[in-house]
Amino acid sequence: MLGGIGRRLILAVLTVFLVVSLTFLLLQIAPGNPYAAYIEGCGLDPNCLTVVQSRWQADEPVYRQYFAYMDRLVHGDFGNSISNGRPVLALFAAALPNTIILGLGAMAVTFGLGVVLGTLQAVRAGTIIDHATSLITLTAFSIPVYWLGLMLAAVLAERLGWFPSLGAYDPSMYNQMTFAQQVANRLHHLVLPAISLGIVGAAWIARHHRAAMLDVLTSDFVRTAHAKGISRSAVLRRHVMRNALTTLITNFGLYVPIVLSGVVLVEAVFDWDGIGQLTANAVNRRDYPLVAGASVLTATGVVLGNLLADLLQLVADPRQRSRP
Amino acid sequence: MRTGLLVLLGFDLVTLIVRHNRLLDLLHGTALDRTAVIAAVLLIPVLIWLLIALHRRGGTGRGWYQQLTQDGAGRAGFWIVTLLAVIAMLAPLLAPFDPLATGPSRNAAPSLEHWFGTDTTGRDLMSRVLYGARYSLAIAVLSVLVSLTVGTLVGLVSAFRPGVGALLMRGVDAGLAFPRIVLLLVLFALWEDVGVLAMVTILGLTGWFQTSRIVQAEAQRVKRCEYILALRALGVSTMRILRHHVLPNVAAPIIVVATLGAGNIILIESGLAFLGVGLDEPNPSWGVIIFNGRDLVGTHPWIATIPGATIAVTVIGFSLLGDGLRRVLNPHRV
Repeated sequence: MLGGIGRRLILAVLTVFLVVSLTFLLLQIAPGNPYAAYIEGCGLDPNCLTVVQSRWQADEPVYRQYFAYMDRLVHGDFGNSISNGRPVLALFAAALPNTIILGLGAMAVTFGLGVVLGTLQAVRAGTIIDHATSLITLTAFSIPVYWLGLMLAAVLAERLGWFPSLGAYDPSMYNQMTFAQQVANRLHHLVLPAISLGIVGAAWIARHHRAAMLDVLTSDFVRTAHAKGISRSAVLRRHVMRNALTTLITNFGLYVPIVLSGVVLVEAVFDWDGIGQLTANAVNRRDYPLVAGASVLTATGVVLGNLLADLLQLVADPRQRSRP
Repeated sequence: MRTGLLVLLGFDLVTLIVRHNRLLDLLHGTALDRTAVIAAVLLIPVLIWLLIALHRRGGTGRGWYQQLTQDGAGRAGFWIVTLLAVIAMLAPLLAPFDPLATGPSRNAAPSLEHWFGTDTTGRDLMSRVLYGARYSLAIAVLSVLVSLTVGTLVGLVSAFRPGVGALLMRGVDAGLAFPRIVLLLVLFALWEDVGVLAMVTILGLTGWFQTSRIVQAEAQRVKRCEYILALRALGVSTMRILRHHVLPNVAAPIIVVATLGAGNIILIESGLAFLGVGLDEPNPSWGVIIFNGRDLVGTHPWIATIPGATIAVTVIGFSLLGDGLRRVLNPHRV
């Protein structure tokens, strides 16, 4: 069991290393000098130029730059943003909480709705309910995430005024609120973004969960359980759901990259101040250090998510533990 | 069916020739980009025809069309995609206005003159959406071709050269784990101006990971079959085995993945345009139209609503077609 974890850890580190190297390579082949913005900032000051060159080893061979880059990353130095001069890591740290809130909200929608729909479909397989839900999940999976967000914002926020359509919280009054009010305010702002981001995932989970449930439902031990006279709901809860859980956890690992892609789009729609907005703005401003930081940190996030899924799998599935 | 497709191809050529000058003016971007879009639009009927030919050679008793359209879903998918291909081909004939020409009525609601309304600069939205089909389908078809080629090559190499294969598959794992939109954003940060060809290259080169996995698994399965061992014993070369025995086996899952991948590319391309990355004004791409209408969605909802719904229908079409093809071609694993 521990051997398996160790192997996965090594693979995870290897993946992050690959992404970091690739990012470095991409910045090298980017048109223009990757440090041009810093050099431009110097004007005619010769001292500043020397400082920039020694800091980035810009006049050294590429492989030396690569080692220097790696060295800085290992020490947590991702460089400074070109557009506002602040450290990349600090910018990401400031944006991270909002993205985590959005991600958790979306996951709640995805797994809550997905499991309910998938279970419903599996239990009523082949009926009109199953087919209708299939059609709904197919449609939900084909709708552009950002467009769904726009439509929800147009109807539920602008027309009906039920929810706010912009921002993660109300900045004008946030500081005067009590803690409970702040939480309520944040949750109120979270509803629409979480739904738009979560629904696509829910459709995906529903499809996989339906298949997993059907797999278990048709197995012999479920028939035996029914034959023993256990009630339908108890069979579903104790035997079927438990066994379908492993598929769900695998899907959680696969879901992390999907939700991170969606976050970028949904944050743009709702002007949500998170990692996604930071990345998209960095790209539009060609803020290379920020873009590189986004790439490395996102990869790390995905790898951590996958590791978490692997660990959960070990907890949930005893068979995995005995495997070498 | 085949004559029907030939007629379509003919139409396609005629519209290209008749409206040649206008068409070239309408397509924004370099000459190379224009050629790419036109080539892709021409390619669509050829691809459909290839699909048929490939399946005919498989020699199942019933025709592919009857099998595919056994149920409503397969039929709907086939016709949605076919209709879109026709719209893309005939866009210059169908569009009532020039999609780039600004008009006097700005932000006009849908009316008899402008069926889908007009946008902030008074351009006719219906014409823009019709031309958008060209962009979306062209980019989807070409990028899928790129990723299929790369994915198949990598998959075959990893199956038949285990040493290199292990390394390649590690890279594929890393690629699959990375969120595609973020990867694309990082790549697009390097380019100032992105045309259709650059789009196709980048989308294609970031989309082959899944294909290579499937090809590798399938090729490895075939490789272990006894008839392959027999062929090897007879001294048949690896290239010949690959061409005549492995590729035909791999074709079915590849076709399914390609169809589903085309829908995905359309979603991604429009998403990037929505973020202001990739294709931009004045290209009438669906994502660009939504991007332009995003701030007006409360007051002038038609600008963003119609292209978004079109994307949804298109992607549903590709999904249904992909599912239908999976059933018909019955790949061992997808």
